[in-house]
Parts: sequence; C-alpha cells; structure tokens
Amino acid sequence: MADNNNLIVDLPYHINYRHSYGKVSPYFVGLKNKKILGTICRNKEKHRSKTELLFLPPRADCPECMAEIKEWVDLTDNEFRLYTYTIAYFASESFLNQVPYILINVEVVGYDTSYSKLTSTLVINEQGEINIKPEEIRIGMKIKPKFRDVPLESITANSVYFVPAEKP
Amino acid sequence: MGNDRKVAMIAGGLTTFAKARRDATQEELVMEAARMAFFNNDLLIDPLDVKRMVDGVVVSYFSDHFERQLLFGATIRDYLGLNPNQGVRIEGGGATGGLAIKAGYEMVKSGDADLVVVAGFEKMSEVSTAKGNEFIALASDTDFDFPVGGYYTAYYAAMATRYIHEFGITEKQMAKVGVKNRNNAQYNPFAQTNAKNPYATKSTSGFVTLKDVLNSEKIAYPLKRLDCCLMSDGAAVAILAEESLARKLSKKPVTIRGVGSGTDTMRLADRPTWKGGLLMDDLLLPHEKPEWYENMVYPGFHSFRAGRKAAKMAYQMAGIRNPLEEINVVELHDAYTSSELQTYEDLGFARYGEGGKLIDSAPFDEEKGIFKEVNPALAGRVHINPSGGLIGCMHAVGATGIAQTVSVFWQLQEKIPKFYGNPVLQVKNPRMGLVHSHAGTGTDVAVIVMDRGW
Ligand SMILES: [Zn+2]
Repeated sequence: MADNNNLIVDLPYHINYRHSYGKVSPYFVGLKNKKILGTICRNKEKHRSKTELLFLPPRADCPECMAEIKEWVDLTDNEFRLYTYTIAYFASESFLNQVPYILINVEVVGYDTSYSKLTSTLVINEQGEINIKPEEIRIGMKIKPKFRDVPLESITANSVYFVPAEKP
Repeated sequence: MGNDRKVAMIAGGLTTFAKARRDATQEELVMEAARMAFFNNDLLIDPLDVKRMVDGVVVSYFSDHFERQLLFGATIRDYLGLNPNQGVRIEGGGATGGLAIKAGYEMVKSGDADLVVVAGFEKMSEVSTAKGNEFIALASDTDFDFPVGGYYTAYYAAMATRYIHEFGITEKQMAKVGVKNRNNAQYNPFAQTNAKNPYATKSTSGFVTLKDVLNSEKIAYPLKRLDCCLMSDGAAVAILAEESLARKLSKKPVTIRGVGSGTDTMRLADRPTWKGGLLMDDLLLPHEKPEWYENMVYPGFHSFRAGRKAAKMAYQMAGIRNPLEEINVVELHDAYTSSELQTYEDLGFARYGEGGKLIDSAPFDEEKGIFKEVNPALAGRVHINPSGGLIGCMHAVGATGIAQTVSVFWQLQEKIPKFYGNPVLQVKNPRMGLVHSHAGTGTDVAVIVMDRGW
C-alpha cells in the first residue's frame, strides 16, 4: 500500500530449529514404539507430599528433591481418565485446519499425579473405536491412548492421542 | 523488613488501545503515552524539569516475535530521550506490565533511583490473528503442550471446565463478567471496544447483553467470543518517585503500599493437586479459616496459586487484613470471564468456590440482561474492572499491567472524569486500590496495592 503517511510493507521471516529433546528423548522414541513412558522419583521422604511422584510429561530431574531421575515407567496399559477438556473451535495457525478438536488433560490412575496431567487430544469418532457425542464427554471418563505413525525425525507430542475407553 | 523509603506514583499516560494502530510505530505509541504522563498529570514543576530528574527506566514488552525487533528497550529509552540512565527490560508474559511496575518500585525502594519511568507497549497487529495466537501459544510449553494443539484460550477453557466441575460455577455467571466489563468500557475512551474509539471496528465494539455473550461464537468450550479478550496495539507509561520527592512534584501522589508476585508451573498439566495444598504452601489470608481449605485440592486447575501468593505478599506489606473491607477499586486481569471469577477467590474477595456468588451480588436486570448500574459494586463494596478490564480494553500485553495501574491511579486521584471525559466510571471517594497482572495460566502474577498519599 502506497501511503505517504502510513507505508506498510511485507517482511517474511522463516526459521528451522534443530531442536533436541535432551534427556526426555526416550518419551518421544517411546511414542514411535506406541508406548507412553513417564519418569518416577521414588524419594518420597524428601518430597513435601511424602509420595512417589510420577512425571508425565516426563522430567529428567525432580523439582521436589532435585535428584536426577533415571527410572522410566511404561504406562501404556495403565488406566487413564479424563481430568478436564475443552472443544477448540479456533486455534493457532498450525492447527486451524483441524478445528474443531478436543484438547484434554489426562489423569494417570494409581499414581500421585500432582505433576502429571498430560495435555493431549481426544478423538470421539474414530472408526473401530467407541464413538460418543461431544455433549457426552464427562470429566472422569475412562480413555485410552492411540498412536500416530510418524517418522522418528519429525515426532512430536502429538504422536499420541486418546479415544474413549467406555460408553458414557 | 527493608529500608523505610516509600515509593509513590505521580503520573500516568495511555494510548487508546486498538486492534491495529497502523498510524504509529511502537516507540511512537510509547511517546504518545509518555507525553500524556508528563504533561497532563498536573505536575507541580515544569514537566521537562521532571524529565531531567529521571534516573531509571523500566521497559515492558512481552514478545520479540510480535515486535520483530530485539533489544526494543534500547529503542524506547532512546526515543523518549532518557539516555544514559540505567535501564532494564522486564518480560513475564501477560504479567509483564505488573512486573515492570514492581521492578520500578524496587528501583526506587532500593535507593538505586529516585524517579523512574515505567514504559510498556505491545503491537500485535502486524501478524494475522491465527499467527498471533500461535506466538502467544509459544509462551506455553513448546515440547509437550503447543504441539498437541494447545493455545491459550483452550488452556483457560480447560481450566474453566474443571472450575465449573469443582465448584458449580455457571456459564451465566461467567457471561455476567463479560457484560459488566464490556459495558464499563463504553465509558472509557481508551478501551478498544469503546464504540467511540476512533479505531473501533463495528463488530467488536459497543454495549452487550447477557444474551449477546452467551450466544457469541464458540471459541473453546465453555468460552465464547465475548468471554475472551483480544489482541491489541497500545502503550502505557507510569512515573514513580521516592515519596518525599513525589510530594514536591504532585499534589496527589499515590503511595504504593504493597507489591507482591507469585509463580506456578510452566505447564498447566503440572499444577499440584494435593489435598490441603493451600495450607501446605502457607497461602491462607488473615481473614480465612484453615478449616475452609484443609480438604480442598489446591491449586488444581481451578485456582491460580501464583495470584494468591502475589496477593498475600502485597497484603502483608500493605497491612491489609480483609481485602473486601479495605479495598475499594480493583483492576484485575480478566483475559477470560472465567479467570476474573477465579481471581476474585485468589485475591480473597470471595471464598474459594464462591467467585460466582460475588458477581451475582450485584443487582442484575434479568429481562434486559444487563446490570442495573454501570460499574456495579460487588458485595456492595468493591468495584472491579471499572475501566472495562481486558475484556473491555483488550490486551496489548506489555502495556496492560501498566495501563491497569494508571487506571487505579487516576481512580484514587479522582481524575477519571478528566481523563475519560465523563464521570460515569469514577468510584466515589476511593481510598485503597489494587492492580492484578497475570500471565500464562497463572505462571506469573503481580499484585500492587496503592492508596492516597496525600
Ligand atoms: Zn524427588
């Protein structure tokens, strides 16, 4: 736009980051192998809650006792429940073509999940799985993980998603 | 603790917030606000002599992605003619502005400076709305949350779903916050949604009713378009001074009685859900009883622990025992209607779980779907977001917390009629005011408590 008072020009800007997942890389490799892996710190005496703490998303270091965490637990077949959800009708640029989608937080049953309510998505109309209507979604309902087949070099947290594990 | 230096605010300036300020660069916007701060605040000596006394500068902006200019603090200090003073840039997401006021306070309180300019801005209109949402979403965890489709409205919506589940809050109570704030903004000429704002767009300005909010376009269940603030372009400036100097420069300096800030986990997903967590973190306020909360999961997804921590610090410093009885005017961070209700509880204006009751305490005309009065007093006592808040003014991130502070400052000076051009939103005889500035699902919150220093 040519305007003597108010000239506006286009300035595009593209970047590619060569990003490292560092010490939590096993989580992402796990997704490739259709596994959900968390880390666990068993130093319960050193935690304010006096409980073992599960980390999902995983952490390589415990924020409560500052220990390095080496222990991974395979949660793939664990019971999962819906902690909360929203139905997104709008999104950031990269996800606009996917609306509406259901963004959720996941509760891992049987652990102190204070630090562990994984953010993910819920698919309620997948062929071959239990189908429910959006208005039937309930906090506390059982859900189970499913995995997308993505090449390891472009794996992201979005390689796992959830489907209902019971009819409401 | 600390020395006995006191810090006061002597001036404030704002630009009109707008969806797009194509007519000015960021530094030009800041100059607009700074000019108002220096020249329109009834300073007792020549404003340029005051400017020559400035010995510290805090610059507040959120996002290098939006601005496309790193080290913008240098541009601002230079453009305002404030070199070679000491300077610092503050960034804390949505709480950037409040944290900048706190940083300015600390500069003066410590004795490192006597007169500090706190200048904030954001220009969010130079990228598309979807790209802007993405830039804001990059202020959430980019390994685990953003890549699954996370963005801020959705995180707050997921919190609101859980807040409703825990406490029985209703979408109607949320919508009432939208009605209150948006309609207040119609009397604030600096607000983006003010229909008389020269930059206003028809579809995003003007009065609204309860029905309008409840029927507005769905954004992220349970939040609708009129439950949410939007991005904005704008700037705000506050001038802080050591108290004895402040008295020489202003007839009505406003004393900062308390400042506080708190933090919480980066990922919403990682918020502790320990029973009795509020007591475990020593976050009980003086007027509350431990038995209210010993069985409550805290903070969970329903409460902002950072907001409570910030409030507790600021109240302790200011000697506030019961906020509802002592504070008359509040500007709090209502990025979403749900978060305003949640914040009533964090600030101790309502018991946890009873934020909905506080909004219901103001007389409401069910037939018309509006409050019986503009800027209603909640619980018959406290006016919350008279300026229209973020929902009315919208959110030029780095400017917002400073703009809120300026609004409370003018309220305490009873200069709202002068600056807004009408008396509607002026709270009668206010003694004590509070500013609440909040970031990223409550990762950072700053609270500032101010009262009349004259
Ligand atoms: Zn540990």
